Amino acid sequence: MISAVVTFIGDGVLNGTGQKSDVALAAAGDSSAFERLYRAHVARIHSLARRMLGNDFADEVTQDIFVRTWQKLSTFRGESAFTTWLHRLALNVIIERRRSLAIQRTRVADDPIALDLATVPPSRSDLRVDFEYAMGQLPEGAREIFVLHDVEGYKHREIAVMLQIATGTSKRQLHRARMLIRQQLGEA
Amino acid sequence: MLQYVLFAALALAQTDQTVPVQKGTRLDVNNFSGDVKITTWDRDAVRVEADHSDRQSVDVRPGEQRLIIRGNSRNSGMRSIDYAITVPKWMSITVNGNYTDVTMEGVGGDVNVETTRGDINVSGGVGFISLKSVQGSISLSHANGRIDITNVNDDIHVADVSGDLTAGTTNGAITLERVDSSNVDAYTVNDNITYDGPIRDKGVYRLTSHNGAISLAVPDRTNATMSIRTYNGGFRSSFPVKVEDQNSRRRFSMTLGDGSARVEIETFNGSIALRRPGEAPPANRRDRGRD
Amino acid sequence: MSRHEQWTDQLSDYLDDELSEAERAAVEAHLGECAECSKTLGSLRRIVAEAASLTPRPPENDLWPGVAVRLAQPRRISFTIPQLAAASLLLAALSGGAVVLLLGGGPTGRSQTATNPGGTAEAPGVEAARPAGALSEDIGSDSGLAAAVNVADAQYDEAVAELERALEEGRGRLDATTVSVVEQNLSIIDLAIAEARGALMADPSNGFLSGHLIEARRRKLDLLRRAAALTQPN
Repeated sequence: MISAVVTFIGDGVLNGTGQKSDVALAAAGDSSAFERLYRAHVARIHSLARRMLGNDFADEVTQDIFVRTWQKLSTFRGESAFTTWLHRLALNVIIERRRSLAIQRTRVADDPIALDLATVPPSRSDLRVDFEYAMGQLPEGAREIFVLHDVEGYKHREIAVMLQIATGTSKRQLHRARMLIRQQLGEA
Repeated sequence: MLQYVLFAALALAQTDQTVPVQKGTRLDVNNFSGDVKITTWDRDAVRVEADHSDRQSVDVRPGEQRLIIRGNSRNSGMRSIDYAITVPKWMSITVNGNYTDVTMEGVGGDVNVETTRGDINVSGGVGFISLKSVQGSISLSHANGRIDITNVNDDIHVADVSGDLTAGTTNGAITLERVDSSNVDAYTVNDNITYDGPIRDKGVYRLTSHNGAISLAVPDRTNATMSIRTYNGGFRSSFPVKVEDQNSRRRFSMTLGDGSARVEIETFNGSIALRRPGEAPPANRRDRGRD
Repeated sequence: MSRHEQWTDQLSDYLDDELSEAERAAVEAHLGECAECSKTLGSLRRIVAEAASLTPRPPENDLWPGVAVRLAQPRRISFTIPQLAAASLLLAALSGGAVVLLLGGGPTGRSQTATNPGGTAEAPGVEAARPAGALSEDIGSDSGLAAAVNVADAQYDEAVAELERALEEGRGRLDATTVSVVEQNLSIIDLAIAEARGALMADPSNGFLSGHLIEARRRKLDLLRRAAALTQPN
């Protein structure tokens, strides 16, 4: 079983905006520049983490992602837009976490100590948007694929590699997700 | 890693060389990236088919009692080469790779495989068998000899083998089925161990995990002194056991028959389960965790 | 079971242009005649459009401080909060009073201490990373813990330190994923070692625990050796 790692594939487009200089500064160790990058990207990264993993882990995973970004920034060669690179890195972290969460979830049942820590904070009541709520209600597998395909724009081929599933499974789960959302939104 | 499908019959291979070899020659393949598939035939010759780009070539040259196979890339970037190699059944094989999946079928000599990111799947092997990966599952079947399997982030699956067996990983499950051995040492940190095979008189069997559960199939009429130890987990048995020397609920020993074999089962957070052969073992963590 | 299912099952693939020419034509022909399926298609289109237009939402809490505190530390393994908290709770439960977070010290063998009388987990977002250099299992000067326990092992510590140095020096030769996999697994073993050691300190004469701890350390050495060997050029 090859770990589902998405390698940093450049799309050859260099980001010529001010962000590039922040990237260069941050890569050289300037943490204020890195904070600016953080502020610019946290909403998108956090939304991805939240939609893929749920509310409970989104904050922690988002921080992990940015710490990993800082650690790996020196390897960013500028072959693609920084946004693309960051996004792939975020997905790697999320997919790794998804895997270890699956392992931990089965441990929580056995381990009395961990049970206390796993207390789930109540879901936020300010989820006004029906659509996001409907997404959140999806079963995990369907939700992840829906997020990756319809929200984030990945193709089934790419999703299959990332999540180590067959493209057929990806297509079926996507359809299931859409139909369930349709039901949730009362259109069925 | 690029994935090519090699059809031996079609001329997709850009390298296709056959080299006669004398008995006792060892195959030595080094492939940084790409698949290595090895099958056998009755000829005393090695056929190397390789699929690669124009800028690469494959070097097949004799060494000191070895046949050495290496890829050459004329540009600086490493590119992937996929090999399909047919060898005599008697040949011992060494494969080193990095992003390399290795598959072998029907091999009958020593087998030595080391990869970093790749699956290893060997059917066959006689003598010294050593399989190492870091990220990638390792599977061995129909082998006989001194078996040593080391993995880091993934599972180990061994079936229908005989001989001394050591299997160790950190973040993967170990499944040992129909293992006929008098010396088994299986160790993982973060996942389960399942053992199903004869427990031979005077044999030594050690199954150790930290976070995982351990499940052992105990055949009827087994003669073994069993030491069962867990720190936080439970113990259950599908057949009645008589416990002696019980330090605590979770650490005790018991004697089956004349107690000649030594079976040590140890985990920290996981539970220990004994069953009779034929009964289904508990599911692995990862299987349970999957959607 | 709706008789439309054989058609609706294809609608997503139809929308995403994943159907063959023939399949596409068949679906379109059916849509021409079937109001219900057309309606379903319309819903799916809207859902896809909605998904594509979802805007990112920033987190409720400011996560930057939690990130900033980790940037200052040298790149090293960090435990996730549940693991760290579990380990510290275990130790707190066993020893009471001051809890030594046995994350290992720097080259001087210091260890970090935190007072956790209530055994509460650290605040989210604040994680302690282990400083680069020797992982010493010296329990430091914490009082109240069983002094007679042979928890430290100088030879082991030295071997670990040497291998970690080799790994640190050579890690540039490994690809990022392998480095991260190795680090992840080292932290898995470290946590196992911490748990075993914590348990042993509470029950020093427990042969099972000391054996288990020794075994875990051995495995850590094996992994470090393997990882260090990987960094050597072939």
